Amino acid sequence: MNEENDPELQKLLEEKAKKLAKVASKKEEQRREPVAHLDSSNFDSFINSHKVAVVDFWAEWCAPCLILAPIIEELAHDYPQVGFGKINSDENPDISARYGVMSLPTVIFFKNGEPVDELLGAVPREEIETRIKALLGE
Amino acid sequence: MKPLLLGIDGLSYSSFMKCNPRTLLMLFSSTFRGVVANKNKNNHPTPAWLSILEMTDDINESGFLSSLPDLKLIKITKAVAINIPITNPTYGEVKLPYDKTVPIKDELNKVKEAIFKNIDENPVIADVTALDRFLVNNGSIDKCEIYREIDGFVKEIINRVQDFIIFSPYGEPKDGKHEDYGVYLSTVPRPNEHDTVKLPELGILFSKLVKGDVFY
Repeated sequence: MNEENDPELQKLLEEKAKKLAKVASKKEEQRREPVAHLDSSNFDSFINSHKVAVVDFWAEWCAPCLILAPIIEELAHDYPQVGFGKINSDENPDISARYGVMSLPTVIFFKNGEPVDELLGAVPREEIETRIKALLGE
Repeated sequence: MKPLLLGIDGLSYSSFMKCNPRTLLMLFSSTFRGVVANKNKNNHPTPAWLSILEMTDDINESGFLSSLPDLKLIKITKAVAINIPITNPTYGEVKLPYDKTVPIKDELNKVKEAIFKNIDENPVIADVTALDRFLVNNGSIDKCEIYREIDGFVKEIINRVQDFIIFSPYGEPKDGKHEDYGVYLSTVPRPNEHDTVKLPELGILFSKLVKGDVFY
């Protein structure tokens, strides 16, 4: 039997191709959307899968949240080794309550899945960047 | 002195940190603020503006109008319309072609003069299209320079007008349409500040402001 007619090999190749396509599409998604959209279903896995993660708690009605959003996106481009996420506080009150988020926007910094620092309000880029660098040990 | 409803199409909180428009930031921290949410009328200025002027979400038009319906908000408030992008050229006392032929400064000057001419006697509904006109399909333009011009214009307006709603019906141009979120800065408080401002609500708030029927 030659390789082309080996059904087992074909199956393995198809599975490998699917996995590669999935990785490529995830990378493309990360390139387009550098800040992950989080909710109760993926929040824990997100903060646990990144050594350093930065999560922006926001809401639609919150004007300072919209001022802050492009800064978070900019930092996500500049620090690809850090996981950046945003979570709608109104739609995920369980997560907000777990971390005691009382005002918006709140940015929480996680290291190995544990909250280690936070910032409140629409702060300048430097405020966030200083904390990221400290967490990365730079 | 009568109230002013002033639209600045395409104005976005997302550029406030980058462009640092001082007057708008001052208003941000000293007036009632909010977020205009518009997820389905953000392809073109006409449906967004019609939703405000008709005070309804039920708008079917998708481009400039060739004939005007009765504009409920203008009828109720007897407001003077200035440069409203529901027709091309725009509708009202200032009529400008909706393209890149009118420089930003010229539009701002014309709109400002028309507001000042009318505001003592009549409520005014005015719009500035410059930001939207020049940002659409133009990645090379200096956005913050336009913000600077608009910020200076807003400063002159608020120095003269007591009651105002300054808003954008959607954010900046993005991916062939506009950002879903616009700006709301006003002397008018809203009953529920922990909610987004809807387009018809802008018309309702302005009509209450004109009637003096505002929730303080």
